[in-house]
Amino acid sequence: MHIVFFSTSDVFKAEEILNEKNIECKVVPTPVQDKAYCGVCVETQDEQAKTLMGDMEFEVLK
Amino acid sequence: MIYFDNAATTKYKPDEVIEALNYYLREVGVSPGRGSYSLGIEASRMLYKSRTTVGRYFGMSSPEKVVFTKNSTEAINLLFNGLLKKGDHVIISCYEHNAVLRPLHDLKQKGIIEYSVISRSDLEMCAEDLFAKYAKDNTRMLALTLASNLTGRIVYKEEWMRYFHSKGIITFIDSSQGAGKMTISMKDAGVDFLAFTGHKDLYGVPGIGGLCCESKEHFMPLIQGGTGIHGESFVNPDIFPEGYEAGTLNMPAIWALKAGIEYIESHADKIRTMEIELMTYLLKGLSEIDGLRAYDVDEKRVSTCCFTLDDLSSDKIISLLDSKGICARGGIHCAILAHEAIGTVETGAVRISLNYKNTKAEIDHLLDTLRSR
Repeated sequence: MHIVFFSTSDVFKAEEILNEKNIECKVVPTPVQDKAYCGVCVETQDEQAKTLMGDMEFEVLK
Repeated sequence: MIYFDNAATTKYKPDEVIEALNYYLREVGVSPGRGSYSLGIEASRMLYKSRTTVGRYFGMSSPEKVVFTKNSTEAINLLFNGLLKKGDHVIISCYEHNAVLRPLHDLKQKGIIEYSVISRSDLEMCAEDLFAKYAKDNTRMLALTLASNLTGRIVYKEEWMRYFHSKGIITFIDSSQGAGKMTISMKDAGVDFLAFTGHKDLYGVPGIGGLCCESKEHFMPLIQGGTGIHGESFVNPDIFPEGYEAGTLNMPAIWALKAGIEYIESHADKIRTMEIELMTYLLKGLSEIDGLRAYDVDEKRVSTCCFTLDDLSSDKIISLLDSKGICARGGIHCAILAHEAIGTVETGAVRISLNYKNTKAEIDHLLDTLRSR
């Protein structure tokens, strides 16, 4: 799945959070589905990831 | 050459800063927040790491809430123009740099705000008394410099910040002087916004500064343009921080700033101990020179001071020092309020601003030159 954010800064905050939790993830180009989101997003297969995003605004694309 | 103008810019940067600048230019060299290829992603990651290094250094509860600008002047203009509304009142100190005074005075001339200046004699007031004397029903902000760029006096008071913050007044610090010399926790001290510049005490290079936003108070961007996100929108997106950073960021300088802050964090004791020792030595030496008057000598300070001589104007002193290989600054120092406060508008003053890499031998050379004038 892809976790997409409005802010590029949030992408790397998410990456930092997931790295600290040893959740495997990768920053990749955002799938072209919704132009509202920034150009990169977090790709991960771990469903737990989306529960760790705190107060960041995000969307999950599957 | 002896360099005593560190309050303008620190001339000698740590090797780590120069290496970081060099690394970014040679090995990365692309802009963050633009391309989504691997190198562009790495640039964006480096930008995020730099933001959080700044935010942690200033004790923010969310260290990524930092907007990068080209310097503290731009950061101050961003906040004042983006936040203040018609009818607002702002309190500042008599030691504010023109970077704070001018944007406020411009807003005043346009009939948007009014401001009051805390006098020199009131700087020792407790928070309650200060509030009672200066705050009005429409007071929106207390804006203070961390330290005077003229005399080196520390103006910022945590007690004031906490109290005004508790009264619902936005608190702001201009940390251009003293950011690398004092420890501040925005979160603990009730500081809502803080402007910083990279090229002075933080040992970065010119062209980078920013605004730390502990408060979630909304404000408008200063400039419109490309943000790397929401390209379909005809105006900047209302997204933090990108909506406030239109245009390509100075990423080499941002990466170098991160190295500068990390250098300070690992050498803080050495820097502070050395600068206190040098400043104490300098002030003692100045006090022994006939016809010399130094200002704010008994105040808590950073490693900057200023003086006047009875028999020589500041411009002539600067020329004399320059002829002996000493770089110092005379004139008004972009601080007209401060010169009014200490009574040196007509004469100007000579500012000596030290760095921990200065030496007592350099100070002796200065003192000898002044004695033999």
